[in-house]
Amino acid sequence: MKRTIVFILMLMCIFAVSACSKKSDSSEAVKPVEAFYDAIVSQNRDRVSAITCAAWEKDALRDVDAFMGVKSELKDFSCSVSSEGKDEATVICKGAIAASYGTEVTDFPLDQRSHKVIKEQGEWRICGY
Amino acid sequence: MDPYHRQSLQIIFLTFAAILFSISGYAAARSPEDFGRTWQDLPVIPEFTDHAREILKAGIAAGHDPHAFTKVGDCDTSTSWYLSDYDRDQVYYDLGEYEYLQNVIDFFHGSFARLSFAAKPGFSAASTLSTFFMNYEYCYYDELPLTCEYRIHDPVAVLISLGTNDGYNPPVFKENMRKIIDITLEQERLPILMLKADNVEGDFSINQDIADLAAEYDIPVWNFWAPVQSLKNHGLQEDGIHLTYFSNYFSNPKTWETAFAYRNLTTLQVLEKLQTEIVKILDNQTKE
Repeated sequence: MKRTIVFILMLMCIFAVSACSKKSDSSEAVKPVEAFYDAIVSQNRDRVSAITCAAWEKDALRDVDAFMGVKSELKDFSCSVSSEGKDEATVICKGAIAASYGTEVTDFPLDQRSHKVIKEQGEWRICGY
Repeated sequence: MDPYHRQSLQIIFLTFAAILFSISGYAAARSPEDFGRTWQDLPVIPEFTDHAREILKAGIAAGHDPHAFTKVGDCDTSTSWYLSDYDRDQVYYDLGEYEYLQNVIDFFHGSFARLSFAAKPGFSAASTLSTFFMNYEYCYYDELPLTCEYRIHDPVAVLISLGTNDGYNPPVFKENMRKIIDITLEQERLPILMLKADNVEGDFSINQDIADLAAEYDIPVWNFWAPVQSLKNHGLQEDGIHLTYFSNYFSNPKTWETAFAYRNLTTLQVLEKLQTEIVKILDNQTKE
C-alpha cells in the first residue's frame, strides 16, 4: 500500500514538472510581446532592437514613436501563446493600451491582434502582428 | 549674521541671478539663424509650381474629389478651433477684411469641420502610420489612419501639419514624414506642408526637415511660423506647445492677438491658391 502511494506521488510530481516545463516554453515566447508593449508605454525605443526580429524592427520602432506624444499605460494586460512550433509561435493578448492626452483617455484594445513570434539567433522575437 | 557673511551671501545671490538672467536672455534670443537654418524666410503663402499642378491634374483625372482637402496633424489640427467654424453657420465667424475668402469656404465645404482619422491629439508623424490609431468601425485592417482617411474622404490635396510631437526625436520625424508624403503622392494627392510655430526640439531642425522635404519633392510649404513671431510668446500658450486662441471673428482686433487667427487665415489663403489651380484644371477639362 505504502509503495503504491509513493508511486502515485512520484507520478504526480512527474506530471507537475512536465506541466511546468511546458508552461516555461510558452512564457518564453510571450516575453518579447509583453516587452514590446512595455516599450510602447514606457516610450523606450532602445529596448526594441533586442526584442524584435530584424525584418520588423523598423515597424516596431514606428509603433513606439506613435505613442510618444501621449501618456500611456497597459490596462488589464496579459498575453498567452495560442500556438507554438519549434521556431514560430502565435501570441495573443488581452487588455488595452490606455493613452491619455490632457483629460482625454482613449483605450486601444489589444485582443484583436495575433502576434507572430519567431526564433532568431536562438531567441524568441516579435516579428509582426 | 555678521556683516562679512551677509556681504558674501549677497555676492553669491547676485552672481547666481546674473547667470540665470544671461541664460534666459540667451534662450529667448535664440533664432533659426543661430542654428544655421534657412527655412525662416520662406514666403508665408507658397506659389504652386508646375509639378504641384501636375499632381493636382493627375489627382482630378484619377477621380479624387476636387472640392475636398484632408487635415493631417495633431491637437492643433484636430481641435474645433482650427477651420471647423467655416463649415458652420456664418454667425460663428466673420472674415472682416478677408470677406473674399468666403468663396474658398464655399468651394471646399465639408472639409473644414471633418474629423480626420489622420489628425488626433498627441499625434506624431509615426502615429498617422500606426495601426494602433485605427478606427476599425470605419477602417479596414490593411489600412493606416492616413490611408483610411484618404479612402473615405478622397481629397485631391492634403494639409500636413506635424512635428510638434516629434520634438523628442527629430531624425525619426523626417523619415516618417517622407513616408507620409510618399503615400500621399502614390495616391495622386497633393501634399501641402506647414512650418510649425513652436521649437520644442530646441534647434529649429524640424522646420528645416519640412522645408527640405518640400524642396526635394517640389511640393508647396506654407510658413505659418513667420506670421506668429510678432505675437506674445510667438503665439504659443505657456506650455510652449499649444497655439493661443480667442475667436474666429476677424473683425475683432483681439482675435489678432492669438495664433489661431493667423493659422485659420493663412490656411484659407493657401486653400485659395489651391482653389485657383483646381478651377483652372476643371475649366481646361471642360474645354477639352
